Amino acid sequence: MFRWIVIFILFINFSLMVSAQNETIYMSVLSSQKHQWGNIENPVIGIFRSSDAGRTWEHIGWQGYIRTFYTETGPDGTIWAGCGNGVLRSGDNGKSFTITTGWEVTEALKVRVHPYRPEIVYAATAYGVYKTIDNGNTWREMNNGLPALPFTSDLLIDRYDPLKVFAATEDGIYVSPDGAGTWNRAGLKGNGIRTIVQHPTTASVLYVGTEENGIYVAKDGGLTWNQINDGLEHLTVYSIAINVSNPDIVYAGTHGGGVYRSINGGSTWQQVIDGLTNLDVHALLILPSDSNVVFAGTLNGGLFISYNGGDNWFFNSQDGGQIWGLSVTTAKPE
Amino acid sequence: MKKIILLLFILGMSVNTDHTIGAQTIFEERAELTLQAAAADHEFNLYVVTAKLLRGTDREEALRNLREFTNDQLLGGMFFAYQMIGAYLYTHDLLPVDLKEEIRLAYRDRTIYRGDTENHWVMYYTGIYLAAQTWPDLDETEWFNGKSSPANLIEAEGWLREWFRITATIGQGEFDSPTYLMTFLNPMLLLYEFAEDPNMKQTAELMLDFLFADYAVKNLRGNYGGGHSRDYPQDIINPLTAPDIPWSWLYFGEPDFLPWDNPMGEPRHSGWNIVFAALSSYRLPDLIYHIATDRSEPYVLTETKRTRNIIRFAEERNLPVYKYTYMTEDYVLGSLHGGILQPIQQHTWDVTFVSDKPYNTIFTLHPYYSGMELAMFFPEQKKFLADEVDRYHKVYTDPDKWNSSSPYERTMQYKNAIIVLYNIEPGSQHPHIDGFFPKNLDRRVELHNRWIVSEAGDTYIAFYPLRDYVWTEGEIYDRWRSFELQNGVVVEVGRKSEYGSFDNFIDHFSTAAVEYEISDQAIRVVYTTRNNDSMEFIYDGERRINGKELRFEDYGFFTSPFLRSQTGSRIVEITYGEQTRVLDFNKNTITHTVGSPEDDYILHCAVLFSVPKEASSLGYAHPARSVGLFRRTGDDDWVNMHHPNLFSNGLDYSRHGDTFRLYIAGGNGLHRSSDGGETWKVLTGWQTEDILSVATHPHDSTIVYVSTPFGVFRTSDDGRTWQRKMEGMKRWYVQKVIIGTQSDETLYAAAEDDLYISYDGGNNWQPSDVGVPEILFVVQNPVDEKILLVGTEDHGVYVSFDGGQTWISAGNIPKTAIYAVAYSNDGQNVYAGGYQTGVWRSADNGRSWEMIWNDEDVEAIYALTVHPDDNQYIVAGTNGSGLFESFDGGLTWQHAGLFGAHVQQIKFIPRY
Repeated sequence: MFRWIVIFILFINFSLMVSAQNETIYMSVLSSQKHQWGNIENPVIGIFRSSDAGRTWEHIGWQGYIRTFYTETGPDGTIWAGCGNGVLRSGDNGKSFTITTGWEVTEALKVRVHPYRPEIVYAATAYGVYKTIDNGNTWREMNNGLPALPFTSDLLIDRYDPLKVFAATEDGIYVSPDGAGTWNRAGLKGNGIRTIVQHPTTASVLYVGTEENGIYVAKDGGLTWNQINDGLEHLTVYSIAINVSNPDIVYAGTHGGGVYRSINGGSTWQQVIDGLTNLDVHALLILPSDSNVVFAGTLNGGLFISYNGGDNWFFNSQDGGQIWGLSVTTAKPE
Repeated sequence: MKKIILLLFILGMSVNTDHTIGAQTIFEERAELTLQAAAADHEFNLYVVTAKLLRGTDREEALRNLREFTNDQLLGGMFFAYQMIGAYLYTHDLLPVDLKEEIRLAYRDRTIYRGDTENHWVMYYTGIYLAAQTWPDLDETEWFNGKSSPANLIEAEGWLREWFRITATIGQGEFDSPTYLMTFLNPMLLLYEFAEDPNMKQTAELMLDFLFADYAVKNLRGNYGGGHSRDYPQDIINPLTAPDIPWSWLYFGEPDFLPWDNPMGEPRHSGWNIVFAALSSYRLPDLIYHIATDRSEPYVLTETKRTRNIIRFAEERNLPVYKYTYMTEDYVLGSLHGGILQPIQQHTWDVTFVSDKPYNTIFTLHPYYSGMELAMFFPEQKKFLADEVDRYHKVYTDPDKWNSSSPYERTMQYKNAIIVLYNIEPGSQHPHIDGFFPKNLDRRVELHNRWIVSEAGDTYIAFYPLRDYVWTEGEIYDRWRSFELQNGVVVEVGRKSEYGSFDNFIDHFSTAAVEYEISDQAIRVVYTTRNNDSMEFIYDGERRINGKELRFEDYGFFTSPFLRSQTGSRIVEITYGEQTRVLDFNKNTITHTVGSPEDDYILHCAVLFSVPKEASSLGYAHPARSVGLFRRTGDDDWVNMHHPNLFSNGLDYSRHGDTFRLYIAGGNGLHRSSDGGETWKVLTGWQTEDILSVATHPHDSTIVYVSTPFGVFRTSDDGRTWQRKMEGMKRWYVQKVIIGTQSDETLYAAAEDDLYISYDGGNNWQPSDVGVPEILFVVQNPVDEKILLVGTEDHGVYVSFDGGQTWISAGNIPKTAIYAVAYSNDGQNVYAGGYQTGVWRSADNGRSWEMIWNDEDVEAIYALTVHPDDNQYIVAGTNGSGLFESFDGGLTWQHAGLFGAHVQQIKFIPRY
């Protein structure tokens, strides 16, 4: 009982604290185990956001059934969402959405907004990479150099050199020197790449999660990749999150193995699943203002939260939900 | 005008003849029945609402339901998108203003999900297109997707046109689906009815004709035969309960029951989704109705379809799917070529027979499933997908399921026989093969030699399992199951009309043998059917029929007596009897003619010798008893148009004013008839006795060229005088002279020592320096004047791509005597043949060749021609075996009469 009270107090303090930080978390719920075709009692899914570190969630994205894979907010506060119907944009803080893409773009799995130029947005889709440079008014296919079937799970815009873009494809990593104009192989051929992230302070350090072979790291900007699976017993890695305030702390979301944590930049891994009742972790998020707070979005088990860096997990919301994406922003829409 | 009258005449005949009730009669009666029944029903759906409002039945109930539908999220995105606008467009004059507004607002306030399948998108974009057209001035705040009406219209039209294009080019991904057919037909019917853009309406009509023809040609008394992209188990095992049944009933009149009352077996879907069809002004072309119902002659249909969009783990987005169907009056046997072609709901093959009992089908499958398979088609994580899909399609991971696409299954079909091979990887999901045998077969007998023979009405089915198996008895069916992973079955189907009795069928299969070998390296089966057709099939290796390799590319987009199209041509020809309907998706036109293209021409041939052998013992009818110029009057019927012993080397024709003239290059001179062959006149004198070829000037009927052993001669005065034209030629003997397409003055002469070219009507000749002697034949590409091919005595074919300046030896055709070369009229294919060569085809102007036909009884090919209007129709003349013809571009050949004849030239001559 005591323990619960403590948590409750922590919870309140914590949420007061973060609201001051102006942090908004976006959660994309693709589907739900409880969702059935033709069932009027279906749970609400789509885009959710929380301005109190996950204590309460507001549904902002679409009334009915829509498949939302990932939501990200640009530096100007514009909300972008990758969906089954294409790429959605909201310029009014989620009051209304526009599908900015036409029939050419479908199954948009990730959207990545340029870190400094909010009118430039990339979409990773089941049909390859698309890009807009005019705030979504027009989109262009950017598959020059990608495989014949350019299925792309994730994109990474180099924060320090935003013309440099990495694509996580079903056949390894590709890199573009010119904002996705052309693509070149950057290793890990034969690997289905699920996620790619950049070290928060050292630009040349990149981590990827793969479908079958665990985690790789490159310390030279993506030229050479080394497998770093020591302690990692589940080798399907959907998501990776790095602690900004202590980049040696890295989390990995796996299929079947829940969350793994490394405290040495990935050299060794340890499973941290106490309280995590669903072990297919598709999305991870570390709260920037308090790196002890970690969110884990699972496939069909909803959202979990840890207040102690992953040692213990608690169910948060979306029972039965398929959480595909988590992101956070401090930007305020104008 | 003549054609229109003919068409009316035929339609009139149809209505008055018992066994061919016209499509329209069927449709009008059944449409009315449908609307009556739907108006009287109380099911909660938009079709019933529409019927009630239009018929003035239960208006309040209908309005209440319609209002409820504007909010009802149960009707998923794309289904709502098109059904709601369809109901609205049919009924808006009858709706209160506020309800009309509610419907409009539903397109603003509802999330309309686009989906991830072909049928989803067709429904979604049809709905968006029509809604945007209906409310054309709405700005982006009035639409759920934040786009204005004009933007929505453009986007919807853009995708619909893309779908029309890909469908007409490489086929549907969700092809031949008894369940999803309606999700394509209904949107197209709405577009046809309501699209204001005449161009869109016209394309919708082309698509409807296309979809219905594609459906009709596989319909057997309401059964949707053969392989299917997506099908549900209950319909696979009981074909007459499938959701397409109401459509077959409405348009084809079969099966004969009320689809909303009592389909055979338990009805799974009510028939109301044909209400929009019953209201539509689209009328099925009569010939498609006949194609659906006329089963008097068995036929083979080969097709190319495509997979649905593959997003990963492959090299191509849409792989071709090769489909084979054999249709008879009693049964249909059909198959897809095998492998993963569609996720989850593939139905690879079956034999479905006409029966008054349900469960009228037999087939096998390997019940495979995997996350990998799903991830090829869906973007979610592959390890997660198998569980996920199981929630929606609960049978997917069921080891007892009756639909499946397996990477370890391959088929090979030839007419009434099919070999299905399995090479299941150890450790694969559900490592067994299942076969479906309905309980209600009249008899099922396991013979001592492994054959399992089944009697199903007038259809007899012989099933030979390569390996051991077990039966599981059930109430509805017995499950045949084998756990042997390298395995296969051979199935041959027969008819009572062929065997007389099932006992005779048993007798035959008591001694029928299947030769096979199974090793780690290969699974190989050789089987000879009762008709003596030999099938050889190696898993992931060659398929051979009667020794000849089966090439799927030869299947065409459609190849059959009723539907013909080349993959990629976007032109589909639908034929029944005298009627032909050409759907040209390039031009967006439908051309309907009465009288097949062949009938605009009559086949003629020049016969030099005749060696009447005992033709009947070799299976050929109507041996040639004479030589001369022959005109075809029927399949095997030919009439000699001259006296019976004129040695004939060639023929040609011209129009002289209103007079049609026929020429024979004869052994005693050039003969001409101006009265259709009644009387003949010899035009040449003693100096040009033996005429080897004749070429008439295309625009001036007084000019004619002939080639002889003594050079080329020309007349410019209608045959009164002849001039020898040899200036520049070194030798006299000229086998063939032709006129070029680029000018009437260009001539090519195939001579003893070279090919000679003249640019001035034969006054001067220049050698073209082919490099080999004894040129026997010359032909020019009909669309590219620079391309010339010659046949030579000992060196095969030579080709020039620069109008005869330089020559190269043409590819891999035998370097022997080539007597005949012929282009298709589009210049795409060229055919050649000679001494002991068979017929060869080149699709690249002779750079490379493939042999498309060889018959050991045929010593030499002496003549070839392609029909001017039908590039698939090829005729070959032989030296002593008469004529052979192919209607499918050379895939299959039939004897065409004149057995024993040595045919020097064949020509399609316009009807005169």
